[in-house]
Amino acid sequence: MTCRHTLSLLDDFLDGSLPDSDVIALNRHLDQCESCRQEIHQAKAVKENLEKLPAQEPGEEYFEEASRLILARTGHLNRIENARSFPAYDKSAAYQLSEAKTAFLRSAVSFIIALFVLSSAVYIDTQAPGQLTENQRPQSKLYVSVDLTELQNADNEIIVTVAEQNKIARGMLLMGPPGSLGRGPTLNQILQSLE
Amino acid sequence: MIKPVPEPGAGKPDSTEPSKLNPGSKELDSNGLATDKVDTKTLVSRFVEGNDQAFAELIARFRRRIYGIASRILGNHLDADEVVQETFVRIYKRRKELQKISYFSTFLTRVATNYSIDLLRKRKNSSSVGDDTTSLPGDIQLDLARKVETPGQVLDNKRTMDRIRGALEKLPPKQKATIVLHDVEGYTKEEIASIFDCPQATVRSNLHIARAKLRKILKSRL
Repeated sequence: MTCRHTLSLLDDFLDGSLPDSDVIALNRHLDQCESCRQEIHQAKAVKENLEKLPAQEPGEEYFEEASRLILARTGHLNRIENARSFPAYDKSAAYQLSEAKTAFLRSAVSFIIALFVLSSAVYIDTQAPGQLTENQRPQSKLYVSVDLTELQNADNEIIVTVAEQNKIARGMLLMGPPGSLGRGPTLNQILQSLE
Repeated sequence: MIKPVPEPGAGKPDSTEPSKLNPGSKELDSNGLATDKVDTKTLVSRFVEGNDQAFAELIARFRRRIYGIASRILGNHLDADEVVQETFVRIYKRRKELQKISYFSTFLTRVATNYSIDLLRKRKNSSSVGDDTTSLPGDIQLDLARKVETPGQVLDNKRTMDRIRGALEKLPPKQKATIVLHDVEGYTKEEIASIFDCPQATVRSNLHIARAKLRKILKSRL
């Protein structure tokens, strides 16, 4: 048996799983080879010391505390899982019921307010004097006076002052609804038509 | 899928310590039996069904074993504590898978060992492996000190064990885990192959290389 072969059998020898015939051959080699003997001695010493390597002993108190922490963490996980597993239950049992109640209350309040407004209108109408005919209605006119002469021939100039802006705004009231600025006739045309 | 191998640590029976989460009151199962008398397989079935007491009992039964493996691989209390907690939390998250596995202990050891190796790689990268006793809380260090018999004996043993630990620290994580599981914890090569989900030849190879490295590091120092 060579040294190389001996070392290849070392692990099985240490673990006690080497066949008897190989053990005999290995021992025969060890008797003659100091180097391999040293190697085997060293390997045995390492293995024996590894077997004796003490585990830390943190005490029973530590293990109880660790268990409590694990159970607290898994309990928290369990609650999260349950909340995710049963969203329909949560919604139907609590959430949906409160939603329905709120919607019903809103509808009832709206209906009562609408009824009150309607009955008030009917009441006021019954209390008022008789209906007026077209001829009996008072005829009134709204006069709006705006001085636009200052803006004559100034269509293409930049509007700068507040006074100018106010005058244009008042002119808009005469010309049409808000937003029609620039879409209707020009200022000159308006002024000419007014004259 | 975990291969059907004998329950690891057969030579090291599970801790039979009763759960002390509720001191003074021994929990009874549906048949009126104390939970610490119930076999692991039954406890696992109950745990999968949602029985929290069964889970508490499984923790109590395996926590020391997981702590032992982790503390030997990682070499310090804080990391071992992290492994213990994280292993059981991961088991809880993956409890549905437990219905398919043959041996709870193998599954548990696999989760713990893999997490320890990951943590060891992380620690090696950040080079912040702590000292094994200095990282223990003060009262625990005192407990360890009380086990001293004679100063000379302790000094010799401590030096030897420090050398062994120092040499173990120099091994790559997987080789370290393999030698810890085999030579320290007493797992067989078949069990380790099942834990790492690899061929036995890989385990034999890792073990052979790890032992050779340890011999080289510790040459003429033991």
